[in-house]
Amino acid sequence: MTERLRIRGGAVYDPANGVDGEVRDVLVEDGRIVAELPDDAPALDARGLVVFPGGVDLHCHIAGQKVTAARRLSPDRARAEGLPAPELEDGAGRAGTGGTVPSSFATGYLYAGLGYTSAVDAAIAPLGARHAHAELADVPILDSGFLALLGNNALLLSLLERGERERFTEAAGWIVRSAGALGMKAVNPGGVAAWKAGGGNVAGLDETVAGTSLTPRAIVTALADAAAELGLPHPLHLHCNNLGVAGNVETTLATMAALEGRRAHFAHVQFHAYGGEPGGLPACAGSRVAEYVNAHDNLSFDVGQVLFGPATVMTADEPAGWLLHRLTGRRWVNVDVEAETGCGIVPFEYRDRNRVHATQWAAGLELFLLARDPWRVVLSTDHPNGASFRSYPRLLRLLADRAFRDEEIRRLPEGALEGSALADGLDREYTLSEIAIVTRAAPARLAGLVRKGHLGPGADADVALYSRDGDVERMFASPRYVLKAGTVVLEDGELRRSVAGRTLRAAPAVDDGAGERLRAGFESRYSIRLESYPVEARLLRGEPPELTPAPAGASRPRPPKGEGGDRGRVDRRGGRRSGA
Amino acid sequence: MSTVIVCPRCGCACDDVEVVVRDGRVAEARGACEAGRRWLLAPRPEEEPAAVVEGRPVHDDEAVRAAARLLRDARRPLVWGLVRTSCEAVRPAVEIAERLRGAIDPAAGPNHPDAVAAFAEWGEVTTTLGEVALHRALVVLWLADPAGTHPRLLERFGVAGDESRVVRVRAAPGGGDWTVPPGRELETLWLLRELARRRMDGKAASGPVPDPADPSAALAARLLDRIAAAPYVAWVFDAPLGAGQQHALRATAATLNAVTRVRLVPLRGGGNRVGAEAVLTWQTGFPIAVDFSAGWPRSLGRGTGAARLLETGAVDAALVVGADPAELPDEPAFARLRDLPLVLLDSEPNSLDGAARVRLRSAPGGLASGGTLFRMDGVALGLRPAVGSRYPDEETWLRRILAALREGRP
Repeated sequence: MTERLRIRGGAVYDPANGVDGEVRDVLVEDGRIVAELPDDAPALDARGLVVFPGGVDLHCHIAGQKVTAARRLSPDRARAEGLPAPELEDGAGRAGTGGTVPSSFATGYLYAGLGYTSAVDAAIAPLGARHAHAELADVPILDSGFLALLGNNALLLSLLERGERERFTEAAGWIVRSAGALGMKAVNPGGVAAWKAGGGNVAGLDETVAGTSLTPRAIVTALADAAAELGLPHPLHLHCNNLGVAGNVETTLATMAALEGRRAHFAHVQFHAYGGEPGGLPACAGSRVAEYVNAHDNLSFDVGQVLFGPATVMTADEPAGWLLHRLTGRRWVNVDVEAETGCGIVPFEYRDRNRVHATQWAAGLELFLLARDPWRVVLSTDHPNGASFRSYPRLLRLLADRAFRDEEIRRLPEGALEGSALADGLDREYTLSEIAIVTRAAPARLAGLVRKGHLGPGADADVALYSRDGDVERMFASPRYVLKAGTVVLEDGELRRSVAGRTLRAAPAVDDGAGERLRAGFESRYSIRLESYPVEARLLRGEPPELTPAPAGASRPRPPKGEGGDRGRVDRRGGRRSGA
Repeated sequence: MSTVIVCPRCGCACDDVEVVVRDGRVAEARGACEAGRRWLLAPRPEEEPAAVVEGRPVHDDEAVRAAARLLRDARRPLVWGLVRTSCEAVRPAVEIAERLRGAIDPAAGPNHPDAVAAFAEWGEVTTTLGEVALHRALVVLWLADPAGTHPRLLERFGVAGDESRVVRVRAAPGGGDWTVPPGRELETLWLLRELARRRMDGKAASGPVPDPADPSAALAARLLDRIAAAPYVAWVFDAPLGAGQQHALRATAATLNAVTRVRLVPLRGGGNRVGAEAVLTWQTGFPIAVDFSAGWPRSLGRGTGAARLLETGAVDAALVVGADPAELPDEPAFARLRDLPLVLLDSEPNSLDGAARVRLRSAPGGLASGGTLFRMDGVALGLRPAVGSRYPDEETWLRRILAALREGRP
């Protein structure tokens, strides 16, 4: 059956296609945006509304072992917010719970309720991939996937230490493929492995990782190269060393310099943008990071904005989790994942009267407001670390409404803005087009998701329609309509339909023998057989997404406004996939 | 023909057991422990009809309708069990409970709610099994002996036959240096934490200085010395410990990380107990005892658990899936299941067989049906069935019941 819809007469914000608020129709057929429709196609009256592509969250934590453990850790928060099933047309809505880590069905509904239709969990241990896929299947509406944690993988580190770079790259590709991941992530490279082995953390880019001759520098450059050589559309997604520590901006800038000439995406860079002396109070150093990124178009980042209120710190950076536990004395989950990584979880609350928290809040806003190229900036709160994704509308108001922002700044404790560009006031107000870039077009492009983040012909018909409102928070908190793959899931502000999402994954081509070549190293480190590692094909939902082809022989980013000819379907489905 | 399967018999979920099938039946189970072999080689004649209603064999469709009717007629049904149930089959079980505004609770021993509460109070420092061998860890067996329940665990930890890396703390006499004075287990754990805090901070923490002549304090001090000398420690304990020790273990293990890496290994699992709780947690926010009567999930631990709901007559029908009360420590409340209108879905002979108005037989998970199973440490594995079965799997049965409930909605 052909499903058609003409979204008529809205003001369209589609920066990927150079459309900035023009009134025009958006045409939908069979789940995709098309160039033409018959005149008698059903229409949705969008006059007076603004039309955005569906939101794309490139850095959040919504599934897998750590998220499930976080829920077990905070039943009090779940109890405080019971969520009845939405009244869907087919009666198949599901109930859930909220809090900082909503239950799976609620997560999909709440994201859709903000106009978001795709999300990427930024940190899944490949050994936990099966769990993550099973859980993401219960997150409705969103197309979703994850990044595989590789920066402390014992098998990879041993290949790197032996100088076997080709095998290192092949193994990284095999792991990404086996996990059904969208890309690669490194968290505190080397630091987690060192901490698990009983040592301390690694404190700098050139410190050797306990028990090896490797340094974080060697690990991040090798992984960034591997991502490029494997043709992964998203570059290495990097959580630097020294998260959350005063003075860590030096490590962050050194890491950026180490990756000169390579593409890289820096995760929740707000948590890595602090001046001050180690051991002392952090100072705002977002401006230094923004300046560096402004001058280096190989780099992108998501912010990981802190907003005041409850949060859950949830990280693969185990030593950071331990430090926070020692600092707060609160309940703490730590799970070591054999040979790969681990996770630390601490329930948390950011308070506007706390000077450190206020500095973190300000560092994030500095990054947003001083970064010149929105195409390399992604809006995130590192949900649920800096705040829940449910705070995005409030964050958008802080970016788009200077009067509101200045009002908030006046409430901060003295000294919190020391050294911050915010102290002198920053004029910038995000436009609707810039909002569309940092919440849609840029994350989609950086992830290589060809059919996401825009409304040109061929795009997935993921569309969000909002009522124009002087209060940007209110505007983005309650879309009037949301379409997912052409289905109107939210209508007149109410969730009315739900659809199943698809798995966002990249299956890099690796040689058929790659797994077998790893067997000895694998089985001496893991408690499972090699055959048990690759996730079954049945757990991957829907057709693989269309991905940006890798730039030939280079790892430079594509120019921000390029469109059309270089987009095409890439079939990376060669090679073996072991199934059940 | 042979297949390397994931053995679901205990929480180790060994994925290296080679099952040899002859004439459609398991003839050999290479690499399995004795318990696994016994289960895998058990005769499964499949002579019973797939579906029985009120003692009468019926067509599958009729049984599904009868099950849906029985559950729909209840004011508040209980879904209970999910021990042998794959994650894929847990999903429709939760949906049935939600749709009928009933309750759902995975079968577990009477102390399990204490473990869940202790986790929420303190968190938990833990690990997947492989990390223990990687670090040549010291294994502390705290009042637990996995040999009977998890026979290959020490092999997986790389300490089988190497007692130099094992400390067996026993309550009974005969534990040698590692005997806990009778009735002082809890105190010993808190003393260990106190000593670790003193060592960590280099100054007096709260509370009086433990008296080194006291046998409990002496044991705690010996344990701390032994732990501090190891690069990594796996602290194994058995699930049925009381509330006090559940809390003390989690608090103490966390604190000990100032000294070295200490990881708790609760002896859990068997079937897919851990996976059932994981699915419940991600779908509802709570791992156990979920009550949908308000229209959204709520859980008060023991307060909304199956035993309490049965004891107080709060539920008036039950759907039992993949579990048998006879396999649990004696709990009088579960006897009440026999008096309720009951749908029983299980692959094994069950003590409730005679009491069920609707009895549905399923293919044994892991042997004759696939899906996803969680190991005791939370690692999810894909089941690889080795034999066929004439019975549908649990997921199929539950989805059919769910579909019948949907059709019947007002």
